Amino acid sequence: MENVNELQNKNSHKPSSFLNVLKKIMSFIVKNWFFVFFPCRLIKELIYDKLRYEQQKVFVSWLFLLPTILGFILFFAYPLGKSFLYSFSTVKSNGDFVFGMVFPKGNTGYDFSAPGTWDLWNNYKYALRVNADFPVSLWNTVVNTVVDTGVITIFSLLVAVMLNGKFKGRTLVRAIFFLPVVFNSEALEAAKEATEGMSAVMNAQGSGVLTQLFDLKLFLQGLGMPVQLVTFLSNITQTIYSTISYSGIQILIFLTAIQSVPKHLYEAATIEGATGYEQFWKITLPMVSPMILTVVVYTIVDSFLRSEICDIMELVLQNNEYGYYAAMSWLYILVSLVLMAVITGILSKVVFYYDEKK
Amino acid sequence: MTKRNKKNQAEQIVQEEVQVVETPVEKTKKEQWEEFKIKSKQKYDVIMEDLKNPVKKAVRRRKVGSKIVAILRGFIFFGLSFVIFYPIFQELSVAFKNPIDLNNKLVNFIPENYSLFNVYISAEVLDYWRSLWNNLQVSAISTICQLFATALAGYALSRLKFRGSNIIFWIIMLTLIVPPQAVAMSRSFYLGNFDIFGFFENLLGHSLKLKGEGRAIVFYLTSLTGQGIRSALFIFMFRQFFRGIPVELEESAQIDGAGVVRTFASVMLPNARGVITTVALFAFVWQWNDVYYTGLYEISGNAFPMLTSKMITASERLQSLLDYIKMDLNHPYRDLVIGLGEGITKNPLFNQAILNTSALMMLAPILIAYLFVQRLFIEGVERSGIVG
Repeated sequence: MENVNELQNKNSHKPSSFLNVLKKIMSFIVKNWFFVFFPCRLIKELIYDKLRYEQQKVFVSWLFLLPTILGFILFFAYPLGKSFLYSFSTVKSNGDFVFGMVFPKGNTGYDFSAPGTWDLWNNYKYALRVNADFPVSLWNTVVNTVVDTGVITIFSLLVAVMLNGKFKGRTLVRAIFFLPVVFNSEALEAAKEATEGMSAVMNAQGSGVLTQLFDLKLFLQGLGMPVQLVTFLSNITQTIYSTISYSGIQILIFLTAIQSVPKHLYEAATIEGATGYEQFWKITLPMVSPMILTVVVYTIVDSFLRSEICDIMELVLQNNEYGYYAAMSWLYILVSLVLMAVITGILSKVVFYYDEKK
Repeated sequence: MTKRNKKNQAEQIVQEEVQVVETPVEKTKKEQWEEFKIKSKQKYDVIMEDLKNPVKKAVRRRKVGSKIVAILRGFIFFGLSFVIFYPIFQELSVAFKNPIDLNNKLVNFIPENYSLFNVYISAEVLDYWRSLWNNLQVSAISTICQLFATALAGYALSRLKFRGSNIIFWIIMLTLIVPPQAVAMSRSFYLGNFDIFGFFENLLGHSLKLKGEGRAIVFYLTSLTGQGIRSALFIFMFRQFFRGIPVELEESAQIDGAGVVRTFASVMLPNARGVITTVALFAFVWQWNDVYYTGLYEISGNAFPMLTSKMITASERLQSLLDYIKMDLNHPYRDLVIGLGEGITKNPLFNQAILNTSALMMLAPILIAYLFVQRLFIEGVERSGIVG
């Protein structure tokens, strides 16, 4: 019971301390308002008001971008650079590192007092040669990502086109289709992984009934389709839930893109007698194609984040092998960037940019 | 003209019919049959003429096509909606099921014995109300911070362009493209010992510790500086939206004497209601469901519980909670737990049921919120495609 009381005390203590800090800050501003706002006013009157409108625009633009640029430097560029250095060095548990040196392993981590040997590529060697799982899962990730990206992009484009049409209950269907964005939770998956082997039990209880009823695989194989195609198709159908739940943003991007297509194009096409099918291929698809590029890039990033390689890296991190982790993450960045460059390179040949002013 | 003729024809036929009906007296069956033959022949001709008419043909084809499309669409939407709703139904059914039913093969969806036991256990395991409050606080504040930073950046990158702003845009997009795992570890080290060129060291005598239990300020700080969860995507969305707003609007505001900031605040922002809702929804939900960063910055703990991390470790605390209930003589669920026996409490299915229930409880607030925001959100989807 004491424990509970203690917790409750802490609980009541927490918001009030937060409010106290807020109060302190507010009172500081109220007391010293002159010194806080005076420089701002000075800048406004002496610099900003004397600029022309175009120059004011640039000034305000920099002002608006300031937090983002600051955050980029502080929380992105600096850590990224540091992780690049980490990937060539041995890292202590407090974040210090020794560049390019390899130390022998003691009982509790690395023994930094021992003389090290110079080996720049040690971490990369570990990731690619010693660790058995990493290269394999990197390759698997690439393959899965390519398949996923294709499936999700096509699926979300089709759904967006269908959602764009006029029909009864459109609002309801749209609300339902964005539900997985809300309901899709990594925490649930992580928790289920923590109690692994349970999905099998769950399947035995009833959620497997569906798959038992429509055993697509057996059915299609009975029809005489090639096994590989059947496996591919059944994989896609089995992952339909995850496909839906990971394509929320993509549907959204496509939907807004479709709605921003000028309506007069469709009107002209309808007068000329084009069917909806033809309109899709001749108008919607070309007009939406720049967004396809965006969606593809986003999907690649997103499916890399969910891939099995993250689990392996997490495992390495849990063993406090920061150098290995950094090397792995840089390999991972490189692979994902190369993949993205290849795919966008191919796609950008097809992309059509519509310019209204022409 | 042809249409009118046809109508007249049809009227004539109807009139003839009426006449025929008026004099039905004393007719043999043969005559009736003959009349029927003639009538049907006439009808047949009319129908055939209709079928051959190219205009009607086209109309018919279009109608049938749209009907088929509608039916197909209905099927697809119904199927996909089922796929979406199925897990929610499953979780709902599990949540109100008495654990006794778990081993009963006959019970599938509708429980035989209702009970709030699962809900109670999940609430205890998650430390529900306190975690809920913390989650709400963290998600709400960081959503506001995200909105602030990303809306400003998106506007600056779309309407207040200067030489080199495209380069800045691509650099910001880089933060989306580079996976967070790559930055995460060294960022976590850095935040544990935060300092800007020794500024805080000189000022306070020590560097700031921005990670650890209860220090949710990390989320606010990163969100405020456009480095929150997928901020770059939000910047992209805002930029896309503001680009679509007609230039005339801005020009007229300028002529009316509004400055740059004024134009943004009172002309552009009110128009952006839809995209703001969308971004806010995503930011809130992702912050709410976030496991990765919460784990990385070690925010959650006994003094500052958060739903997601409590949920991941839920199964570890389950057995000890059950033991506690067994020991407590006055506990309302004591009889139930003892009655269940180890056959069920040690069963992985029970564990799974509790996890599903707690998942439902974790997501219930956002689901309810979504029901209310949904209309605005969908409207936002339509509005964010504004074209000049």
